[in-house]
Amino acid sequence: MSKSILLVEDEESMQVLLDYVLKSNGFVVSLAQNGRDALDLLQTTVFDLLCTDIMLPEVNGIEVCAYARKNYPHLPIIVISSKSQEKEIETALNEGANDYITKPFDVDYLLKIIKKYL
Amino acid sequence: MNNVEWFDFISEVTDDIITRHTLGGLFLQVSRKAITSFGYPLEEIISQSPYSFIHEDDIAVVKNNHTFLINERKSEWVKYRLKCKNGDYLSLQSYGKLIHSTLDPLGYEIILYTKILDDDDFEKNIGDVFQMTRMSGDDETLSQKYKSQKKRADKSFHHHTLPIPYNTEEEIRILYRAINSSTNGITVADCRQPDMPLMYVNPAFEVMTGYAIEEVVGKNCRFLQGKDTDQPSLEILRRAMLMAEPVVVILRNYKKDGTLFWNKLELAPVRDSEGVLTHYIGIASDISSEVISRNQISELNLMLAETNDQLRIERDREREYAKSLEKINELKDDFVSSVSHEFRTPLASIIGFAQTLLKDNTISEQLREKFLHIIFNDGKRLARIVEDMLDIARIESGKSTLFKETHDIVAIVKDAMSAFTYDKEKNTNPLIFKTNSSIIALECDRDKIIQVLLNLLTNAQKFSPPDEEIIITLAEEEEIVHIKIKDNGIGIHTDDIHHVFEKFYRVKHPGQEIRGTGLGLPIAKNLIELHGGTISVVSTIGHGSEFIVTLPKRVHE
Repeated sequence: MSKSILLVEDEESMQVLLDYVLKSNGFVVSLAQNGRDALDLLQTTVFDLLCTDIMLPEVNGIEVCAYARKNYPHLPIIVISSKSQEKEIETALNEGANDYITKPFDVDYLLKIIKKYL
Repeated sequence: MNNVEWFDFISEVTDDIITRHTLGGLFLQVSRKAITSFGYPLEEIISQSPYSFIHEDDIAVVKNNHTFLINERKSEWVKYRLKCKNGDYLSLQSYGKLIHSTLDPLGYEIILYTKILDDDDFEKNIGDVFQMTRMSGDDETLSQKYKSQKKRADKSFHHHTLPIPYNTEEEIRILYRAINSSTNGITVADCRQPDMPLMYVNPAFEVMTGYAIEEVVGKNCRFLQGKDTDQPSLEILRRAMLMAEPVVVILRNYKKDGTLFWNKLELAPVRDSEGVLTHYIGIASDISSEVISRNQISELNLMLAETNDQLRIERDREREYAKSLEKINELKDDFVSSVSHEFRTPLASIIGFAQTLLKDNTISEQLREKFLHIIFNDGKRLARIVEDMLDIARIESGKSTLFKETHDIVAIVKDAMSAFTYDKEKNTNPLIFKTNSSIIALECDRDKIIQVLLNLLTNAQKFSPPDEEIIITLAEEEEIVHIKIKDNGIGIHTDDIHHVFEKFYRVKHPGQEIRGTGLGLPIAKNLIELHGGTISVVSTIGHGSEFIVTLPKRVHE
C-alpha cells in the first residue's frame, strides 16, 4: 500500500515540483497551502509522513511541527525550508522535526531522506 | 606659638613629668614621661581631675597648695601619693606655676612640674631647671642676662619685654632656640608704637625674604608688599588687626631682590597682663611651591576635566556607534537571511525542475512545458531581486539618475497595473482604478514611476487576503498629483509605521511571515524623492493601509 505524505507548502512552484516528484515515486500526496489547513488535515487524516515549509501564512511550519509531534508522536516530520541558519534548524528539530532539508535541494537526496523514514 | 604647641615642644624635649591643667586642675596635656610613669592611656587622663588619682589622705594638702597657687600665684613643693593604673601608689612631689592662657587673654592655666620622690636627680633638677619666679617682676632681669648671650635678638626682648610666661633662663633659651631653628619666618611687631614697627625677625625670615634683621627692624612690614597693594587678603589682614583678632592670610609678597613669593601669614595678637594689645606675632611660610603646584594642579584638573569631558563624549559616541553598528548588523543579518531566503526559493524550484526534466523521460509534453515555464518565471524572479539590490545600492551611493520626459501619468498608472496583473499570474486581488482625469501631463522618469507603483501594488497584495480589492486613486491639483494605493489588508502597527520606509525593515506579523527583501518601500521612497515628491502611509490594524504618493507636475531642478 502506498505511503501517504502531507505536504505543507505555500509556494506554487514548489507545490508543483514536490507533488510531481513524490507522486512519480509512488507516494500519495495531500497538499496544505498553509499551516492552518495542515492542522485541519492532520486531525482528519492519517499520514505516514509530514513534509513542511517554515515560512507559511497564518500558522507557521514550526507550529505545525510542534502540533504534529505533540499529537502524533510517531509521525516522521521533515522540514524543507529556505531558512538555512543554524538557530532555525535547531528550533525546528527542537520542536519535533526529524530532519531538515534546505532549499535548494537535490531531488534524489530528498527522496532518500523521505524513504529513510518510511 | 600657643600654649598647646609650646607644651608639645617642651614634652618633646624633656624627660620630666610635666602636666598642663585648667585653673580648676583638670588635665589638659601631659608629657610622655607622665604617661609612662602613671600607666594611664592619654584618654583616661585628659579632662580628668587629678584629685581622682590622688590618695584620699593627701587630697587636702594638695588642695591647699592649689588654692595658694591661684590666690597668691605662688607655689610650694607638695608631696602626695598618686594611684597608678596598676593600682600601686607613686610618691610624688609637684610644683605648680600659673601661665597666661592663649585662648583667653585674661585667663590662666597651671603648669605642674612633678618628680617621683625616689628619683636620685631630684634635688639637682629642682635647683637647675625649675627655679620658679613670680609671674611679674623678675622678667627683665632674666632678659638682660639673656641679652649678654644673644645680643641681636635681645635688643628687642630687652626693650619691649614680651609677656611670655616663661621666666627662667633655661625656658627662654629653649624658646629662643625654637624660634631660631624654626623654618617659618617669625616676626614680632610692636603695637604700642606708631605704625607698628617690626622689633624682631628670626633667621628663617631673613632667608625667606632676603632682608637682614637690621634692615627691617623699626619698619612696618608692608615693605614686603611692594607696589602690589591691591590684594583682597590685605583687607582681611587690616580688618583683623583693627579688631585685634588672630588671622591667617595668603599674601603676594616680594623678596629684597623683587622675586614674588606667596606668604602664608599667621598673625596672633599678644596682650599684656591687663589684656591690652601689645604685640603681633607673625608666622610666615613661603608656600610658593605649594601655590605653584596648586596652580598647576588646578590647571591639570581643568585639563583633566576637559579630557574627561572629551572622553565621556567619545565614549558616548562610541556607544552610540556600537549601538548603531549592532543595529546595522542586525539589519544586515536580517537582510542576508531574507535575501538568501528570497534567492533560495526560486533556486530550489529552478534546480528541482531542471533536475527532474533531465532525469525523467516519462514526463508528458504538457508537463514539460509547464515545468519550463516555472523555471523561466523563477529565473525572472531572481533577476528582479538582484535588480532591487542593485537599485538600493545605486540610490545609496547617489548614482541613481532620472531620465525625465513629459508623460501622461494616467497612462503610466494603467501600464503599471497591467504589468502587475501580467507579472503576478497568481494574483487574485482585483485592482480598482479611480480617477476624474483622462490625461495628466507629468514630468518624470516613466520606468521609475512604474517601479514605484509595482512595489506599492506588490506590497498591498502581500498584506491583503486573496480577492480583497486594491484601490488606486489618481487626483490632480494645479501643481501636483496624488496617487493613492489602498488595500484592505492586515494594516501596519503604529510601532512599525515609522519604519516601513527604512531599508531592510520588515514588519513582523505573529504567526505569519511575509516574504520580501525589505527593499521595496525604501526604493519607492527614494525614487519619489528624486522626483521632488513625497510618500506617506496611513494605516489601521485590521482595516488595511493607504500609501499616498504626491508628485510635482514639473520637477524643479
